[in-house]
This record gives sequence, structure tokens and C-alpha cells, in this order.
Amino acid sequence: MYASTLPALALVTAFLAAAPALADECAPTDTIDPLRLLRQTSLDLRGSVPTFDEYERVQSAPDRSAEVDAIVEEMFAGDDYRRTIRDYHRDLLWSTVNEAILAEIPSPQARIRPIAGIWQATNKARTYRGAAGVACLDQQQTDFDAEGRPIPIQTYSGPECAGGTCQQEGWVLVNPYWDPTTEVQVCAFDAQALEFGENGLSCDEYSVNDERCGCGPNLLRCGRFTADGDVAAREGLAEEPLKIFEWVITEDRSYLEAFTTQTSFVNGATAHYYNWQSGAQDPERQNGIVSYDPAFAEIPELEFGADEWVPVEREGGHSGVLTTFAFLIRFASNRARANRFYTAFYCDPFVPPEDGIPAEEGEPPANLRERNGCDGCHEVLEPAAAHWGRFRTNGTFGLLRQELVDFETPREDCAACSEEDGPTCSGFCQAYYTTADNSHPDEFAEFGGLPQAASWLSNEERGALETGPRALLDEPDEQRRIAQCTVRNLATHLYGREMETSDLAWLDEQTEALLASDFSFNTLFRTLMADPRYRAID
Amino acid sequence: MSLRTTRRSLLVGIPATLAAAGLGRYARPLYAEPGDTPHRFVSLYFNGAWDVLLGLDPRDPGSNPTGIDLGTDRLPAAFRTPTPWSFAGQEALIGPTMDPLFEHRDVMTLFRGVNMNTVAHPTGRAYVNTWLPPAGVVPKGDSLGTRMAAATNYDDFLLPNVSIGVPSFNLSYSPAVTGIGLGRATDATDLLQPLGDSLDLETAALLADARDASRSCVGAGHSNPPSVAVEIARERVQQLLGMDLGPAFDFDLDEALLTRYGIENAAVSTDPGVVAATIWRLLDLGLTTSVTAQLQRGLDTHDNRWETDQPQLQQEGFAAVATLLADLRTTDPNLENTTVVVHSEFARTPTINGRGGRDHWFANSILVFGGGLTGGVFGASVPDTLGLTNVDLDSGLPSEDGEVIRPEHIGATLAHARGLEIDEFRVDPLTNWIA
Repeated sequence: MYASTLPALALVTAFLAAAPALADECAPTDTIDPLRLLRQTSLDLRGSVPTFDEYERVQSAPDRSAEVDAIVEEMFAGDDYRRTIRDYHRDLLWSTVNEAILAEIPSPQARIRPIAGIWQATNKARTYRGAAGVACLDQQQTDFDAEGRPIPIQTYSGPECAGGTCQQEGWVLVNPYWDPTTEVQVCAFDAQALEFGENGLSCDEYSVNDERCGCGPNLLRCGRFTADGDVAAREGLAEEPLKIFEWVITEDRSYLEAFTTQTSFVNGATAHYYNWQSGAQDPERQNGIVSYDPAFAEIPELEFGADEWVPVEREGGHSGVLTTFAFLIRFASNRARANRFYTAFYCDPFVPPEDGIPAEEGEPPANLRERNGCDGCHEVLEPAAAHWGRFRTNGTFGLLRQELVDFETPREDCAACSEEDGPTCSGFCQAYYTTADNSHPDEFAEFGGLPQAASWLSNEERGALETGPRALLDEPDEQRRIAQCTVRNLATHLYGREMETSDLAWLDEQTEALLASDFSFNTLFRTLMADPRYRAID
Repeated sequence: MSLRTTRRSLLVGIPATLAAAGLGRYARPLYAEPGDTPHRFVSLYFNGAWDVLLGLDPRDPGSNPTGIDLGTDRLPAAFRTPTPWSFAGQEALIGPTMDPLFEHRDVMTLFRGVNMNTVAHPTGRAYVNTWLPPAGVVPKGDSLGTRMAAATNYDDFLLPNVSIGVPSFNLSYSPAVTGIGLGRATDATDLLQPLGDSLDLETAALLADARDASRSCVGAGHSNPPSVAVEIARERVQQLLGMDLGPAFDFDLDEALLTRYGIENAAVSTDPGVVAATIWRLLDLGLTTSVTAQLQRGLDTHDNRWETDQPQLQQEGFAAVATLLADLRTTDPNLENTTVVVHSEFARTPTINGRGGRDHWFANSILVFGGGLTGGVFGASVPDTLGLTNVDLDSGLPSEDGEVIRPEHIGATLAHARGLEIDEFRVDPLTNWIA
């Protein structure tokens, strides 16, 4: 018999041994066989069936139920439970940074790829060599000027390379950040490591058309454009909010901290992203992912491949998972962010009128909070969305600091711009401010030149713009809503069914218990697993 | 190519009593028996929300609608001018992205001014999956593809209901019509071939013993042992794997198909041509009777990609639909036994935002080919604003006394046309539009 088949056979043997006991626990019954309970809890806590040894422990224990309880406690302390926590909250947050959500992880200089064994930036070749897609020569570059820039081995005759070749320099050997122990060939222009560009600005920031700016030391400023090149960054960024949940729960902190904490986590790939690829030359720039304000958090330098997650302290203004990269990118508008929060953590989705939005009126008001058929949702949604008013939208990420966005004073250039009647609106005005081009005339008349996030809010509601999403859970009744939703979500998950009317009183009891436990998610988990709803077969 | 593979034969191996018990719980909610001719159902989803002004519900650029910014000058010349199409005794203005579908207008019903009741992607996706109002983002009821599979002699198909890139729901019908999900069109090959080496005989025998000794403990309220469904599924998979169908989905072996569907790289699972060709192969082989698929994506153009991506992606998607329709019509010229629904979760705003794109808009349009419908244009949006308007449900024309049409009207109509009970839709079918 092959060694690899032993685990399978062990499980088979254990299962067959358990089979006679199953006969006693056919429904309806409130007593669950310990072996079945072991399997059930193992799947729910770890996502895998029990081990052979665990089956054996239960089989041979004098008190089999007590033995199961002991094993369950070991499960709560294990790494697999941490993964379960992350998976569970991934489903709640819809946390993903896949290509449908974000087409590419941008980088301050370019994305490079190996072509015929030589790493190069195909688009940036336009800057160095006059046309996109033109490679360097396949020979080692040996001559450099006083600044360390490559001296072209051959030149071309015209700007369009008519009659000549655009190939100029050779390649150099570089230890790339993703594999510092290996040397790779990189076109010498792409490998440049000068600190400042032609325009005098730092090459660490976005200046992709500057011929003096290359990928920098160890290619740090460039993305790796290969099939699996940015997977590590994508997966890491999507995992970041889940690590916050994991930290809160495994340290048995209040579950509410997941929505309020300034602490977050980075691994090698995400630290590299935040340190090297998210800088913004111009905070009002609208292309690409911009402005994880360097002063906003101190990100440690980690090896790109480091799997370990280390905590980072963000400056005030963050709200736990609700202002992480993944959440802000996954939900690109403030309304979408509020909608997800209400649905996932208040269990209160926005639902249109039963008969549908009515036929259009003659002159529907610009304010959705007043428009027939829209008002029911938007009366709540607009002030809720305002909690993200200081965060970037539309596929970009970061905080809009006070000097960039003032909610009190209209910004003159945004108020005056219009494609038809005046100067062209900047992308920043169009994205974040109420302009003549992007708003209803009534909205522009009242809020022109102010940030869009401030439109149609009462003075009291405007406070949310500055406090951020954590203000969505600072009142006792809001915390009670979250508590009840947390119970409901977990119960639905563990019991495999929606909560029913007959569960309402029980739901209230569990809500009170969660509040009394200072929002201990682990306590809730244990309580729901001990409940007859989990252990009975009906 | 056609392999008339039936699932009835494999049921022979299952004790008759078990088979009866397994299938007996699920009454077919039909008011009519399925006919002898298999009916094919195809639901094609354009992900991201399409701009109906470019195709399904355009405006004449010279009409200067007061509440619509047509953005004509921003568009490539080929996508600026809609043309009038005559079909089903009507004339309607159709946008240039739909040009590939011109030859199929004789079997086309176009629903306009459909109130999606949402501008949130997940809610809209849930809505056009079941065609019932979702609860928040949670779909309610059965997928339309599941209903349609249930309306057929589904025992005749190894994979009665297939979904590609979209979820499938089955609350009411036999497990036999539960959707077989493929994450991507190119996963069909994986489905049809063994994933790894076989177990050695001793291990396999022990596992078989364990399987036979095990049983799920279910109460009196659950009359059917899940083991029956599992046994059926196991037999289906074994039969599928024994048919060596993998090469049928290696499109590189079929130059004519590559050309027909405009496929440059058969490994690109997001290419609408690849998706459509996969659907055709599944249907043509007789493996399935109902396919629901995400055909196109990338339509969520809030920025100036609206000028370029939106028309291009729409046209590419409609071209794939047109080729699939042409293939389907080789054996069913008038689509009397075929329903093809083409939809997106909602539409895009009539005004262009500050970033040169269009945002989300709830007044949608939806296409149906065949499906037992009469053809023509049903409903309308407000000419000047692309807003919702009341429609007379008999004539399909705007009427103050009518009501705004919603997706459940279309779902109920298609289900009713197939002989299915439609109480769940809670609206009357548009019977005047059923041929």
C-alpha cells in the first residue's frame, strides 16, 4: 500500500467506526453524536475534517462530549481558525482586488516585463528610444556617464527611426526586489537609478515620461508585469482588512474595533506597494492610484516576499477596515461604501419601493432625498455616504487632506470652470467638486464649488464628513444594530439558514449577550456553537 | 455535431424505488407538459451596465433631447448614428452597436424603459438572474435558467442547466436542474476530463465501502435521501468523463468555428466569441438545454472610456450574440424552440459626468430572441430624458393609465410562454406578446 493513501484510509476507518453511532441520531433529536459534532465544528472552525488522531481521541475518551469540547478549544487557538475568520469576513466585505476591480496595480515609473530574457518597459521605450515596444540591444552595457546614465552604444538617424534603429543601449544586471538573490538582465535605460528627473522632481513619484527616471535601485519603482507579477500585491491588499478582523478577534478585542482602529497590517508585497508604488507627484492627479499620503502611516521596509504581517499605525482619520485600500477600491463611490456597510454590518440593505420607482415626474428635483421613489433610500444613504467624504473615490485611494478639500469654502476654480462656458475643469474638480458640468443646475446653484460629498446635507450631517465612517457606530443604538447584525450573520452562517420569526426573541437574547461581553466575537462563536440550533437535527 | 446523450439510460443502474423517491419530491410546476422537441434557453449577461443610448434605446442626434447629452461628437464616427429598423410590423431607431444583430431582427423583441429599481451592480445582477425583485443584494427565487431547464425533459440531458461566470439558484425544482457552474467558459474542458490519476484499487474499494456504509440522517420532513441525488450526480459525472468530450471544447481544432466566432485566442475566457462558442458547443452536443452566461464585461464606464470601450465592447458582444443566433437558427430558423435573452444589470445615465463617462441609470432595455414572443418593441423611455414612463401592458405603447414595466414582467412572460407556473413573479404575463 502506498504511503500517500494512509491518511485517506485512516479517515475511512474512522468513519466506518463511527457509522453505527449515526443510527442513534436520526432526526428529530437534540443530541448530536460526538463524532458528528467533532466533524461539524471542525468544518466550521477550520474548514477541514478532523484528523485521524482527533477521531481516535474522541473514540477512546471516557467522556466523548467533553473530549470534543477540549478539541474545539484547541481549534479556536489554531491558525486554521484565523483563516476561517478571514474567509468569513472576506465574504462580508467582498474583499477582492482582482482585475475586474482594478485593471492594474500602477507603479510610479512603469511596469516591466521580460522579453527574450531582458526585462524592459515596453511603453516607456517611447521616452527613451522614440517608439513603444522597441527593446534595447542584446549586449551588456559597459559605458556610463558621470551620473551613471548609460551612454548609447548606437544612435538612430531620426525621431521616427526612419532608416535606422531605435535600439540604443544594452542591458545591465540587476537584483530585482522580488528576488534579490538573482541577477536579471534589464535594459539600461529602464534600470536607471537617478533620484531626480528632468523636471527636478523625485523619480520615486509618478513621472513616467521622464527619460532620467528609471526603475531605481533593485527596480523598486517598477511593477512586475508578468502573469503572476502583481498577484502578491493584489492578494495582500485584499487581505489587509481581513487581517484587521483577525487581529481584533484573536486578541479578543471588541468587535467594534475592527471599524474604528487606526491599526492595520502589511506584509512584504503590500509594504512595497505603500512604500514605493503609491506615491503621488501631484495630489490632484486623477490617473492611477494616488496618494497614500506618506505622512499618513509609517510603513516598515520588508522584503518583498515576506509572508509575515506586521502592524502599522495609521494617523487619526482612519476607521478600521472601512478605510483600507481594499474597501475603498472595491466600493468606488461613497454611496457604494455606505451601502455595503449598511447591508453587511447593519443587516439593513437599501430596498426600493415594492411597486418600483414610479414613472418620471415632469421636473424631478435634483436632490435624490426629495425625488419620488428615490427618497426612501437616499434620505438615509446620503448622510451615511458623507462619512467617506474625505476619502478618494472612483478607483483611487487615500485621504483628501484639509488643504485639498475644504467643505466650508467654495473652491473658485471648480466653481468657475465649465467646458462650455469657461475654462476647462480639472479632473480633480470634476471628480470631487460640484461643477457646472457634473451637476444639476439646481445643485450647482446651491453647492457650486463645494465638494460633492457636501451636497444636500444638513449642518448636523456635515459633521460626518470630518469624523469618518467610525461615526457610524459611536451611538448606543448603532452599536446595538451592529450587535444584532453580527449575531444574525454568524447564526445564518453556522446554522445554514436564514433567521426566522421564531428566532427573533433568541436573536435579541444573543444581541444582549454580545453587548454584555464587550463585543467578544469568540464568545459569540462559542455560544452559537453550543446552542441547540447548532446541535439539534430537526 | 450532435450527441444525443440521455440521462435516462444511466438511471437504469439505480434502483427504481430510489430513483422514484429522489425525483418524486419535486413536482414539475408546469401547467402544460413539455413537448417532444427540446427547448433551448440561453441567457446572456453584459456585465457592468450598458449604455442603451448607443444601441438598444438611442436618440436621433438631430433631435436635441433636453435632458440627454448624447455625446455624439465624442464617439468614434462608426458609433454616432442610429438607423431605423423595420421588424414585426414596426419601425424603431436602433443604435450602431447593435448592427451585428440586424439579420436577426425578425425574431427580436426589444423591451424598453424597464425599471431595474436599482443602480447598484450586485442588486441588478441578482435581479436579472432570477427576474424577481431581490432583497437588497440577495437574489430571491430560482434562476430563470433553472426554471427553463425544469420546463424541459431534463432527463434527456447530462447537464440540463449550465451557468458560466454567474451564479445559479434552484430553490423549487429537482436537483437534476441545479446549475452546473463554470467559473469561466474555458473551464468546460476541465469539467469534461478527469482531474487527476485514479486511486489504486484497494483505496478505491475502501472508499466505496465507506460511501455505501454512510448515509445522511434526515428527518421525516425531508423524504428524499440525499444519497439518491449524489448517486445520480456521480453517475452523470462518470458518464461525462467516459465520453471524451474534451477535444470538442478545444476550439483550436475547429478552424471554421474560430473564424465564425472571430476567436483569435481560444484561451481568452473573457472573449465573448469564446463564451458564445462554448454555449453553442454545449447545446449542439446535446449536453444541455439551458445556459446562462456572462458574455461581455468591462461596461462600467464612469470615465472617458465610455467613448471608446463602451461602444466597442457592446458591438463585440452583440457580434458574438449574432453568431450564436445564426448557429441556433440552423436547426430552428424561427427560434420557435429557442429563447435567447440578452441583458445588463441596468443602463447608464443620460447625462455625461465630469469625467467624461456615464454613471448608473435604472431605465434599462432588454432583448429577447425567439422565446415564443411576437417580436417588436415593447415599452419606451421618456424621449427627452431617458426616464421611466407608464406603458399599456397590452399594446406596449406609452399610456398614462399603464404602468412601468419591470424585469418580473419579462420573466413572467418568458416563463408563461414555456408553460411554467408564474405565481412567484406576482405580475401578469404580457400575454398579447406571446405568439
